[in-house]
Amino acid sequence: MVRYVVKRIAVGILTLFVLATVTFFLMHIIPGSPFSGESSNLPPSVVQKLNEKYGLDKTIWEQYLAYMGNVVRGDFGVSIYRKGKSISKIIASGLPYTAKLGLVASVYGIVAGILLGTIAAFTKRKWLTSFIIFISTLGVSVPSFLLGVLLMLLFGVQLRILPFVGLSTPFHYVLPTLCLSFSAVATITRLVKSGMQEVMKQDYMILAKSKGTPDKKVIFRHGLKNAILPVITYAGPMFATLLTGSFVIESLFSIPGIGAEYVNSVTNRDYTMIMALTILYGAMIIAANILTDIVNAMADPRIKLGK
Amino acid sequence: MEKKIPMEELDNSWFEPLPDEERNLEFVAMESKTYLQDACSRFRKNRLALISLVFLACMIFLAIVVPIVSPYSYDEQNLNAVNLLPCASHLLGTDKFGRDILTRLMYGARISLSVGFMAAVMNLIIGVVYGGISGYVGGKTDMIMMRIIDCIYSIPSMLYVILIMLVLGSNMYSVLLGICVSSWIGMARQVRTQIQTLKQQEFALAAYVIGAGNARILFQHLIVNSMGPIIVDATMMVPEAIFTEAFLAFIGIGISLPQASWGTLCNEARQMLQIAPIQIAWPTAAICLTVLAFNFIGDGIGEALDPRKK
Amino acid sequence: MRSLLDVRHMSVDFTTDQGIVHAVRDVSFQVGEHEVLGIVGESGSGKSQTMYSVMGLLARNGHMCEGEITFNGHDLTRSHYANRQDYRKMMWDLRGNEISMIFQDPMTFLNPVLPVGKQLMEPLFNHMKISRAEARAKAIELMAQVGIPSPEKRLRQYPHEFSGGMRQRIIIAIALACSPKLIIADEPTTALDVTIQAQVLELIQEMTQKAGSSVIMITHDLGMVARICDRIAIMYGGKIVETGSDEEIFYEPKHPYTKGLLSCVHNPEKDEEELHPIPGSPPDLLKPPAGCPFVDRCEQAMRICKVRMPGETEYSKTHRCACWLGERLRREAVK
Repeated sequence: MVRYVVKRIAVGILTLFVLATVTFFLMHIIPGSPFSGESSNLPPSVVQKLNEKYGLDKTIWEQYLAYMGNVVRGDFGVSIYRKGKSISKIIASGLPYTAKLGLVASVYGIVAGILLGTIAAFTKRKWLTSFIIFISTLGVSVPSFLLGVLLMLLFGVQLRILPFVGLSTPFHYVLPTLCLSFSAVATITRLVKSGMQEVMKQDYMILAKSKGTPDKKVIFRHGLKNAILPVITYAGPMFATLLTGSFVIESLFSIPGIGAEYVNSVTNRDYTMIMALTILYGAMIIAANILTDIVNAMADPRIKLGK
Repeated sequence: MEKKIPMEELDNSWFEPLPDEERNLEFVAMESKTYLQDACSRFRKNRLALISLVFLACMIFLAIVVPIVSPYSYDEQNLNAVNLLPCASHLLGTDKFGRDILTRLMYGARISLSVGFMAAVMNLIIGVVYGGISGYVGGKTDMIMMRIIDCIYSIPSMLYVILIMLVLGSNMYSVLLGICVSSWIGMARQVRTQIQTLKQQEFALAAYVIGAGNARILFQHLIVNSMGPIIVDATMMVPEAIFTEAFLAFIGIGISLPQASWGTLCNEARQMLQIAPIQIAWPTAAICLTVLAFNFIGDGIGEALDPRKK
Repeated sequence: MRSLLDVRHMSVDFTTDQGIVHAVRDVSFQVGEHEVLGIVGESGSGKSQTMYSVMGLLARNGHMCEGEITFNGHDLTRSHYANRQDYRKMMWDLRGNEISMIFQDPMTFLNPVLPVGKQLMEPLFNHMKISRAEARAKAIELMAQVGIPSPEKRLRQYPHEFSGGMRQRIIIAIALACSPKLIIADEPTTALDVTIQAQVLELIQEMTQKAGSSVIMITHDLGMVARICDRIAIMYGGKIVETGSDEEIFYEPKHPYTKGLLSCVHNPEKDEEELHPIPGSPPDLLKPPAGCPFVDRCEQAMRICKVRMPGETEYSKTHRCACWLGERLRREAVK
């Protein structure tokens, strides 16, 4: 177990290193320096000074080594676009928002998904099952950004019952988390529903009933855990979906998180910022995946870690 | 009717041996159809999938004929008719420059659908070849190939797409390349598992014994047998690519062409949200319905090929 | 002998995509106290579904459409209960406590994500008021009884850590946990290796004798039936075609199907070289034949067999057979 975790972390760090390297060189083969774009009318002498200041006049290998050294120490340098502002500070101020949003959205996604999936699998009301399936089909076919715009328009602008700027009160969370977790809810609903239906057909459910265990207990004691295992496996991909979703949801709802920051840096071609956030995202996803695998192995006794 | 006769009145002739022609010794098998016919007939019974197919066919047809049919071109501005609501001359209204939205939507379909289809085809090729080789060769090669996949897979695909768009510029090919960096992985994994299971089955051994060459075993027997899930996967790839493209366009780094893709149309309409909120409905509907249609078709094919899955 | 289980005119239907499958048709049988009844038939003859129906464990698409079941003074007929909850509560009390079942496939009938100890203690908690420690002690004792080495350690293990034979022993332990009056064993050795089959069969025999339980042994293995059963019922096409004591079935079989089955078994005493398979295949229970289900494969089929279901002919107090040959013999005797 410990050996497995250590190995996974080592592989994760290696992946991250590759990602950082690739990102670095990709950012440097983009033609032109950040200060010579069409948008800037700086005199050549200023450009040269800026280049010196940011180390852009050195060879690419020197820059690479210096950059990697700094990254290891947790220093991502300064933002090019927001002159002189330390990237680590920008991240530190934005991350809490993204984390809060992501946490609420994932809790909501898991709870709502399991609930809806279980209802859809067991209810005797056919319309309810159809309705839940309809919602979950919508969930995988409506992009979160369009859902965001539509909900904003409906609840924020037309009905004026929910706020849609920032994250200051609990009510502010409703719309963004709803949009962000919609596809996760849909996927988990489907997973749980088909998992439940699959489990109900399993032989061990018959054996459990033959012991005289009441039906509800059979479902909760023997069915639920088996049906929910696929949801644990989905946690890694869900995390990635939420992160990507946060790019546009944060921009839409004016939340000052790192997702919005990333989109800004992409539109502004803020290369140091892009590099830093790409590495950060990579690290978060890798960590989430390792965690998912460990939780999965703890929940399912058939999985043996260490292979 | 014979049941009504009481036992005592049954005459002894009933107790003579049953003539052979009245027996049916053979098991009466059901009407037999080939696997493919069977799958087709199951697919035809799936109404949602059929409607989706018709819808997509119409969409593709319109996207092809739009330059001939439409009285407007995609960039024809008319400042006397800006932000019109749907009317007789502009079926879906006009945008802030007075361009006909229906025409732009149909041109958008060209971009969005071709991104979707091309991504699906490229994924299909890369995924099948990579997964096929990995699963067939096995051993160390397989292990290394799988580790590479793990590496690529651990980064969300959107990051690749954005990085590549930044480097190669905002055109269709960089979007496609970005999508293709990581999205073939699901397909490759599936093909690999399929091949591994099939390799252990008897017909693969039989093919080996009768001397079918390695490549022939790989492609003829194995790929043909794992066709079903591969097709479903490829179908599901189309909406994913359309999504990705729309997402990029929405955050402002999408394909920059005079003809806007659906994502670009969404982005343009979003800026007009306060003035003409109806404008965002059209591209949204186009994206959602198309994605929905592909999902239904994918599910339909999956169920048709594997009836137990239902 | 007082009868413990009494099943009368039971029919079970399953609703499927292709139509209604009449899996069990008008089946009646009794099991006495301390009696071992063997039910023999090929796959699809409805023998398992008959028993699932007794236990109230039919799949969702199946239901018992006719007949009644009485067990030890309890009425187990679901349709006799206006309030379904009453029926359920009674069954929860009975299952695992007075009737229990040993299943066919040890690989799929244990829950893969629960330790076997938990699964073994479940019937104890359901039916006895005992503490956790007592239940644990009892579970360890049960595991030792069914021959699982170092039970304290293995209690905490999961099913995938056991071999097929060991898992079947655990299933047997679960079934016997509360010393039930009736044990239904549904092909308990079919999925096991031949070498282990005999051991498991012996174990079932030994354990049930110790507990004084009646047993219904479902199987398609006549050799097994011969060894342990007092009485035998032969099922074919959803019907019981012949019942009798083991001697009556083995030495004076009346039904052509029974005879066919017996000739399929290699008899070392007779030193015959050939086995005699029965040609053809069982009837399609989607459209069950109006007459005898065996008619198309029967060497002695008569015209009547095709159109009308034969009634039962009694050969002795215990020996009954549903075949028109009995009627023909009677008529010939009259002549």
